[in-house]
Amino acid sequence: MTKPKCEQAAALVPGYLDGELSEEQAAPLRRHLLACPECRTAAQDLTNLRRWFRDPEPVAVPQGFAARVARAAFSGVEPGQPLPEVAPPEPVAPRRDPMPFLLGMTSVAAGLLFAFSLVLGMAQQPAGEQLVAEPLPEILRDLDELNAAETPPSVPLDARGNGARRGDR
Amino acid sequence: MALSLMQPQASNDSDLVRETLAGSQLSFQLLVERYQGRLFALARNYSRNAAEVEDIVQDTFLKAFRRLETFQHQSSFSTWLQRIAINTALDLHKRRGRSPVQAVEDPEILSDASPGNFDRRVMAPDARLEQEEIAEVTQQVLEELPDIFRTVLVLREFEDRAYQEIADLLGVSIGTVESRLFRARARFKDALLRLFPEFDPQWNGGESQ
Repeated sequence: MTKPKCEQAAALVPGYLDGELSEEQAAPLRRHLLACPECRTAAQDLTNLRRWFRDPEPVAVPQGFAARVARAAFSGVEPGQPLPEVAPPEPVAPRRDPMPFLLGMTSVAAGLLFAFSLVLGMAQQPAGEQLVAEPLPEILRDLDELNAAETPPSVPLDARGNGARRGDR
Repeated sequence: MALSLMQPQASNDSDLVRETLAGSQLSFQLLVERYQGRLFALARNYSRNAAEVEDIVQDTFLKAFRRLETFQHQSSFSTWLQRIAINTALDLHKRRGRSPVQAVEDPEILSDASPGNFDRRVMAPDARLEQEEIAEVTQQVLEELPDIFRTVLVLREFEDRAYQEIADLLGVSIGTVESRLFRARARFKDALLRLFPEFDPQWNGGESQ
């Protein structure tokens, strides 16, 4: 088969790059492109152009779209009309996870406990300069005086160690 | 009717269409589920607005439902549905005053593929351009094209459809697809170099030589 001329090649190049030519058509065109720099440049130009059409990112279909459209169609909604507002397909009864609540309450309780202990400590503990050690004998003497004040007067003991009781006589 | 719904994967389109016509909402829902991804992908080539894309797909299915009795089971339900989607997308453009539809045999369009268009070269997208930047440039250029050209480019370049499938979708011959694609590419290159002259290999930064 003879090589196609440049005009014929130019007409075949788009189909060749689009994968639409049979091998019988493509083989002589390939040979022509190898031999003809001008046609090769034209083919490269079309290849460059096609590179602007990249595969786009996949489209996310909105959740529940099919059910919504089918419901609208059977409800008599016309094309161009907005879909009626409907409740979500599944009953919205979100199960509440108790863990965040428990954690929150625990942290609040821990904070309160800490603050309370601080307040107690500040209220009852003397400051550093007030921490003066009293001499021990004085404290003991004070205790003795207190005991003496609270204890009734002692009854003399007899020789056997028995105390006389009022009215025994 | 409900029996076929027990095995939705085994149900073919014709079964689901028949069941829908017999009153099965679930069968229609299965048809929507089967084709919604493809239609969203197709529709987003006509709008960058997510709400508009959803409107196109939603209207496509509602129109299909209303015309379901006219569907001829000899042809593919997929092709029939996508044809409705393309027309719906083009209607939206027309309503919003964008890129008005021009007649296929408009002599101005036919004469558009002037030889001058093919002498100019175009660069491939720079490797440093992000995917989103390339898509943005391409969409801007596509917006400049009449809808018949935009559609044939979308089907061929983004959807990777064969010439025969494009011909079936648009209801034209393969020869018409080829010539329309040829002119569409010329128009695309022209608009790309006009809007973004930096992608012309001969571009010198806008300074006169």
